[in-house]
Amino acid sequence: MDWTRGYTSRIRVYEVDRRTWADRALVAGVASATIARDNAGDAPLLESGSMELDRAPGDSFGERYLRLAVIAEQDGARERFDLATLLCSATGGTVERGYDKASVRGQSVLWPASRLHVAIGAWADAGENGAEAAAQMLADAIDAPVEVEGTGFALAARHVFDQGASVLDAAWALLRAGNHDVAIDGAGRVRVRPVPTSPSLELDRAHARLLVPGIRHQLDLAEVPNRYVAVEGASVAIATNDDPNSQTSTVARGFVVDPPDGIDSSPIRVGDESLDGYAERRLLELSVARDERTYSREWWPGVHPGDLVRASLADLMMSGDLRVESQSIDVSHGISVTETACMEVVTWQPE
Amino acid sequence: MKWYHGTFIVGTSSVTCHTSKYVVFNDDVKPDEFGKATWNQIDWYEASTAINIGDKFFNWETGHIYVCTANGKYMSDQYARDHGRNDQAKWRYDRTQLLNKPDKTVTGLTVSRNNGNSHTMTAKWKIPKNASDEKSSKRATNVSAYVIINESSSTNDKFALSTPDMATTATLNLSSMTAQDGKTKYARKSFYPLASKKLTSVKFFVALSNRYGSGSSVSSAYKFKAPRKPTLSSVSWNHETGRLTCTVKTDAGQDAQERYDTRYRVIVNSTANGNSTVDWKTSKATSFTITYDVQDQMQIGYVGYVLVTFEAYARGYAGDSEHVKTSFYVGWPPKPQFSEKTEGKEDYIVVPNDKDETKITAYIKTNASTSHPVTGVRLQKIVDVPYATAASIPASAWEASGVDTAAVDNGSCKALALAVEDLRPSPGTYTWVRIKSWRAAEDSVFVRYSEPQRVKQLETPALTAADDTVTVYSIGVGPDGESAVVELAWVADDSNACELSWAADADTWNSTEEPDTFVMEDGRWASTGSWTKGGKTYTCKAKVTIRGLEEGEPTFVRARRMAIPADKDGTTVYGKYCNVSTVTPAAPPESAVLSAPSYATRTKAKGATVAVSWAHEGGGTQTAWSVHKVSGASSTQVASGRDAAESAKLTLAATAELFVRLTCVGGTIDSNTVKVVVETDPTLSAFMPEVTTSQGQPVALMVDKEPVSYVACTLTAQGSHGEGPTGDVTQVAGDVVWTDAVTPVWYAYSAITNRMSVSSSMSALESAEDALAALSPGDAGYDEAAELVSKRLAELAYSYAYEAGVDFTTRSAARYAAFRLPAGLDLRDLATYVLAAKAVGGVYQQLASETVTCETAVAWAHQAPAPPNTIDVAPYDETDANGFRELGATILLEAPTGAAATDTYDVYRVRVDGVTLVAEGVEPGKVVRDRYAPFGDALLAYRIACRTADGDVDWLDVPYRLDAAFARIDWAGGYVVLPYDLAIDHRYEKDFEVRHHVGQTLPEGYWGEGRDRGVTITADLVRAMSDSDRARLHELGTWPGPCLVRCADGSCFEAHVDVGGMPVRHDSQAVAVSLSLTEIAPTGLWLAEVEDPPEDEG
Repeated sequence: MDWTRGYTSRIRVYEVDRRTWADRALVAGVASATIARDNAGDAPLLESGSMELDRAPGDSFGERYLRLAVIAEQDGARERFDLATLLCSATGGTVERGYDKASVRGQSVLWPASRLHVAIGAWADAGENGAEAAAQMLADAIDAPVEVEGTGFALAARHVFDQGASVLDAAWALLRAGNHDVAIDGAGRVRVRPVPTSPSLELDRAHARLLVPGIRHQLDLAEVPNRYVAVEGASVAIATNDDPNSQTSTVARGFVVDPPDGIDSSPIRVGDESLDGYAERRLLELSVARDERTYSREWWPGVHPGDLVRASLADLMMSGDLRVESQSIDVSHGISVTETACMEVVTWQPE
Repeated sequence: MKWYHGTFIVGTSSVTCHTSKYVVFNDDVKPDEFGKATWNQIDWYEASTAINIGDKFFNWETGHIYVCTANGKYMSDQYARDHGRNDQAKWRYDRTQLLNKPDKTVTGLTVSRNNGNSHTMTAKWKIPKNASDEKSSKRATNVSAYVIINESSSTNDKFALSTPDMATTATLNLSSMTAQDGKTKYARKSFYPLASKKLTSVKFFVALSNRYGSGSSVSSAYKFKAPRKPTLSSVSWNHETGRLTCTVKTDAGQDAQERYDTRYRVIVNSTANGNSTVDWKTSKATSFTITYDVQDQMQIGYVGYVLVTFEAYARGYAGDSEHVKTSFYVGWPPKPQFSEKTEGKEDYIVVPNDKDETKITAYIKTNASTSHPVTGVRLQKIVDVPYATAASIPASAWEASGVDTAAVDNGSCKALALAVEDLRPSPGTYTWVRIKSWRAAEDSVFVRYSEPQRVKQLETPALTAADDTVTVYSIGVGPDGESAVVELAWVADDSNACELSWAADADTWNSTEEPDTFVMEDGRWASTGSWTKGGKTYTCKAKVTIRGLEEGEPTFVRARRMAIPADKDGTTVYGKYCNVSTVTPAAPPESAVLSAPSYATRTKAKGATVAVSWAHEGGGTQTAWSVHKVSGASSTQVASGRDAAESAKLTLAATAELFVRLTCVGGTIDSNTVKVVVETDPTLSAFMPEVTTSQGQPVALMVDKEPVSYVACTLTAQGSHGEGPTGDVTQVAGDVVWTDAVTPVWYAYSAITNRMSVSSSMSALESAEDALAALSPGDAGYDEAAELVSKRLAELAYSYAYEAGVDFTTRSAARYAAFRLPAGLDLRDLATYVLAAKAVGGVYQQLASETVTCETAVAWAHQAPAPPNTIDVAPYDETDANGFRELGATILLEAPTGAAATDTYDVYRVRVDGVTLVAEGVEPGKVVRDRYAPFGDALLAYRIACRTADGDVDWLDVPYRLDAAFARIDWAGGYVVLPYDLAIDHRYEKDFEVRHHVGQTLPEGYWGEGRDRGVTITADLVRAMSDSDRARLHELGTWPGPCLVRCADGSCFEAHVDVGGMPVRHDSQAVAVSLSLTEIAPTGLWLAEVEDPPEDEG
């Protein structure tokens, strides 16, 4: 498929077998579907969706996994790809002319993990592979298969999860400590992976045709902190960006800006990292400003929130690595993706 | 005394006239000239006034006196007196005894000067006997004297002296002298220092004489010398007023060193203001004070000075004395410093090693000099101060600590000493000393200090009690239920004890009340070793029982480290309290229950993670726990904690029996034992041969172990493209053909006794399946037949494994099962598919194998035969007796050559506007009657497709012709035909959108799969002849359902029909009918019927 060109799309919705995680039955009557992907927040569910489904009045829908697949045809060749797999439940509808136009809400396959709380006092031990631990926690909580990409990372110290934290909270907490994230592919398979450093899509001149004109841009340095305070027991580590060469430093701004969450009282150190090292690493991570781009583009397989889009279209102010943050996918004539991605502007590079 | 007149009363030495004023005369004559002499009136006296003769007539050597009244009426007799005799005066008048001049002069002439400021000199002499004897003819009747000064010959320097009555002494008054010339008068002011003339000597001359001559003698010269020099006291400096004082003392002018006065002055040399001198001043005092104020000249800094010199000398007749001086430096003392005792070693302060020595010695340099002398030095100290560096000592520290008074010395001091005991600082504090050096007075401003010097030799480390090093390692109740047993653990530090404190309220430590405390000295209580709690390792531990608690009442316990000073007067230092631990004295625990999963999953890479939990009753709060694995008669601890946790995560490599040992405040108790079966994820192998039929393709499975609850299988298309009776048939890669969780019956290797080839196993399986198929559930032998089928499937699976070359060791340990895929899957000939399988097992389905895949291809063993070209379509247009007109077709479906028994036919209408399935799965030989055959002037056909049970298909289009020039609309219960002025308008609208992209002039097109088809049919009816048709149109207009539309152009489709217009004009026979149609998906209402073929008439 040449995704830069037009094609014919056919939408299919399948019910998913919980045990085999494969398509079981084709679900008829899907009138429309939208999918939203977003990795904002501490423990994002990553995606959600909604559908309108024409059903016979009185049919019980219950709660089931549905898989939204697209068969694209171009030049006589057809290609199927899965758009999203969601845990769906009918939330209501309108009965008219002999059928029920049901509203179906699609939850992320991670949703059960957000409603299951870790046991009080649960922990992950020092030396434990944080990625595998997070994956196992998720796998125990959700139906979707969970895979770990890469070798993971070792936790430097025992981390006791916050009381009342969901499994999803706990998993994200572990993963963020190791610079990992979670991605869900279209088939609903959960992948625990290192935060991508290679692009999933390269928007070069040849691929500029994927873009629809009208690219919004926004840069906000105000939220970039210049101090990070981590507290672990009686130990306190304070990392401060007082580099005069940094535009967000205390020197340049004249005041101290802490992260919105304030003091980090639950640091998760990795490797043989010290608390000071942890605070400095976190401040470095947070010293990356969001140079935001919002644009519409055609479908390109395998681009999810958290992925990198590498752009080299300076005339469109699209130049550099953009980290995908959210996607709104409109499934109608082809697949139109409205995407928000951010370039990471490193505001502080200590010597 | 002889009185001549009684008016006068004449006494021995006085005379008085009581009657009137009287006058005294004397004649001062020689006796022999008495009566001739001139009377000299001496004075008048008032009556009754006594005249002291001695006073008035002291120069009266001889002669007479007379007194008379004022009017001269009464005259006394003469009164004479002989000078030198104190007895009663008597008359001397004996002219006859004087015959010669005295033959020698006076003897023993001595001269003396009255001391002090007296200006008189006295000459004394003796009169020789022959000159004083009254009977001597050489009796001197007169003695005279004079002096000369400076041994001058000038008469101006010669002065007569009074020598009445043969005096033996004469007095020279140097302050009142008249020279013999009678004109020159001398007073003190005539001589130095009041005049330039100095008096250097005085020489007395004394002569005895009578009327016959005289003899004289002369004294030696009395030499005057310069006065003695004054003496100057040391200078006194009043540092408050700035006044310098010096006392000058002189003698009074003793002997020949007459001192008339003393001169003095002050000379000032200032480094700031230069030199100045105060003019000479004079004092006659023998002792006086000179002052000088330097207050205004003190802007000299530490280096400058003011040198004040006091100078004095005395002056007298003979000149000036020697000058005397004394000087005084005014200024600050130099800055003192500590000095090395031994050169090159910084041993400024020596502290005795011998404990009997009680003083330290500080070696110093005052740096005193001539211009900056040092009045005094002192060693100052501050003790017990927290200042480790000199820079950190505030000035007030020295004042506040007072000044040591033990060691005072002057500027030449080389060393100072202080008592050790006064200097020894408290642990952790410091002692500093410094040298204080001053001028004038110690309390003056003229003070300098040395740099402080720390007496390090006397320091001892600070008492410290570390924070956060002690913890309540464990706390439990005592056996009596009214005590608590506390174990403290701490890290050895510089402190030496723990203070255990307890209270009934956790807030006591933050309240006005004090907790109970108990001090545990390390030396008595501590055990050493290594203990870990909370990730922290402790090196000391002690256990103590707190008695006297109340059962059931919580007691809160804290501890802190403390440093008890060796010195009883020292201050105890405390560390911070550890966190509060609490215990409630309680009876021993009653029970403990461990909960653990019966099964746990163990991956091959690591052990099984098992979450266990427990609870207990009685015994109070749990303080520690340990999970143990039973190992024969003993046990092994696998996890533990010193907290109140009620769960733990264990890693078990194998099945184990576990129990938990809980330590509660009331005691320790073991729980029940729970067996946890640790299972390993199974390993699955799957084998799927080439698919030759869709009717139950066998799939072979092999796992290394049980239990396996199910095998999750998914068969996914790899993509294929072909052509079917209705057009392109594409199976997209990724399409799931089949998925299910299968639950086959597993057989161990040992149970598989028939190890055959795949083909043999297949044959055996099919035989068993046939046998089973012949039975029904409940029949005798059914269960055995079913079991045999299962076993045959397992044997088949083994055969596959064997032929796949699975290692024998693995194979012999495995379990085998097989199952058949469901019949009728949408498999395509020559396409490939992938089977993905994952075995899931365990009680909680917690065991799962890796997903294994195997790819297989489809090659139908039986291909669909081509329909025979002898098949014919027989169209018809018939109207029955009720007037129902039917335009249809019949097709006799002859069996194709090479058909299998399961092959069937599908029949499609091939219209001008598409292909529609109207009959499916028709057995060969049957007749298909399509009562809704498309008609018109288009090319029409029926597509006859022969389909195998596997789905393979081959087809043949059989054309036919069915003429009709109208449109017909059928619906349930009726139809209408529109024959006149027919017009058909087809309109299609597709699901389509264009989008412009960056860099593109023209947009890209995007299509959906939907389309809309609208058809408009217009026709006329003949009003007079169409009542029934119009009635049907009215019925059609209200029909809420699908309709089948066939038109003369050969189109045939199902649609929703709106009667858009049917105007009936009574002025015309034509009724124009307008229908609006919207095509809908086939509903299956107008399918063909299957009939048996007509019997052969022949």
